[in-house]
Amino acid sequence: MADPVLLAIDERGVATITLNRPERLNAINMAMRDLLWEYLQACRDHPDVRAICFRGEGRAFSAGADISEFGTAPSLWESRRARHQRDLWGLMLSLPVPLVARMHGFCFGAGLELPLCCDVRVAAEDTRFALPEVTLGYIPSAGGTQTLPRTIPPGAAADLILTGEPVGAEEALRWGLVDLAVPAERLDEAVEAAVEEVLAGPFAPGRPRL
Amino acid sequence: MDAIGTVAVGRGASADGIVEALEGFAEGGARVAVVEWGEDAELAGWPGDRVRWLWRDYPLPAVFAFEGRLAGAGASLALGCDLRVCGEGASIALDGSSLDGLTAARARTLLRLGDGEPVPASLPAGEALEAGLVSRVGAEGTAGEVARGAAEAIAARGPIATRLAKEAVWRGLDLPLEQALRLETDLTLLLQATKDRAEGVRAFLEKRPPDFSGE
Repeated sequence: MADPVLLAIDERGVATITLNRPERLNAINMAMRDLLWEYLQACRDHPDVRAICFRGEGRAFSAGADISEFGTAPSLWESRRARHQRDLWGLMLSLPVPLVARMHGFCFGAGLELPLCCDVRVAAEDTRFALPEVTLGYIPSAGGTQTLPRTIPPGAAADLILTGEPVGAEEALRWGLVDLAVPAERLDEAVEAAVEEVLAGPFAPGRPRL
Repeated sequence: MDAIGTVAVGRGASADGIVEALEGFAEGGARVAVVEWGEDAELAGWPGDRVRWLWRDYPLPAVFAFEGRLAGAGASLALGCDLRVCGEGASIALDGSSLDGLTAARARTLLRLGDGEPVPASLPAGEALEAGLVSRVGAEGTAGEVARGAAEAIAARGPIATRLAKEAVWRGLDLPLEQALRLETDLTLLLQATKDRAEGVRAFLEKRPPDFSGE
């Protein structure tokens, strides 16, 4: 069986990280977080990596965290310790290379929070975006309560986070949740152009870094 | 007590009366407050400390609905709320020079203005939506309905989660990102110990609507 996250580095130094669990709409489970952690550390330490592009295999970028694994940590303390020791989202926010997200289908929960740690977000026009954690009696926990109000106007962020309701590309573009929305058939081309652009220029973070 | 507490601001309203109504909602078990600004609304003042009280200390998410031209104390009251919605013919006037410090600071936060950038004097609904000062715009005359739609969504969510989400968003925004992320982590850990979160996950996996008790 293929790994649920794949890493490939091309001759330009562009690392492509693919969420590869399409049968579960790329719901991010612990195995995927472990691989993301490993791959992002490798990208950070690899002298040739100049940019990282995130994509999802199948119908969605990612429908969010794998909820079937919620509540399986041995204790709250263990959960907190693990989170601080292996701070995947903090690692993303500290990487010294530009991060580009290729977004399509559903970008829900952690599937939106991961792109929110990126500098450039390019989406297909029919993408749906949401932070629906409050529907589970929970709040975004991959940085979304902090990255979203620093990315889009905070009143709009409060609406998304408090209601948990999805928005489409029109709202996403209006508020800067995505930098560009294109017809689905042109998504790869637009992402490639965005990657070329970040490779061409000096690195200017598109969002606050740690 | 209904899950949605609605205060209609009309002729002769007082700031104390609005605060009393809002506090009553929170104490009575409502999950969200709606402030409906009526066409005949009168409010002598809504000072900066009450603007801050609304977003920082008032526990419930609050949705503000308005039509027509919103100015003065009404605009200040709106700034304090978490969500603002309006009809498409509405506008909001924020006379930057007359706002007190806390109110101006809130306006600057919501409009993401940098140092030295002036608070715009007046924003019609479309521009307010572009700027994210309002997050939903309905047809003229439907602001109350739009507000109830947002409030119904919030009321259906886990009530501890929506309170902590409000705290995370507004308290976090003032913190350096690293500390803000730690705040989020600690609030999520608090939620992991709630019955609501367990119910939310169970309901999702059983493909049924959750029944949140607020515990």
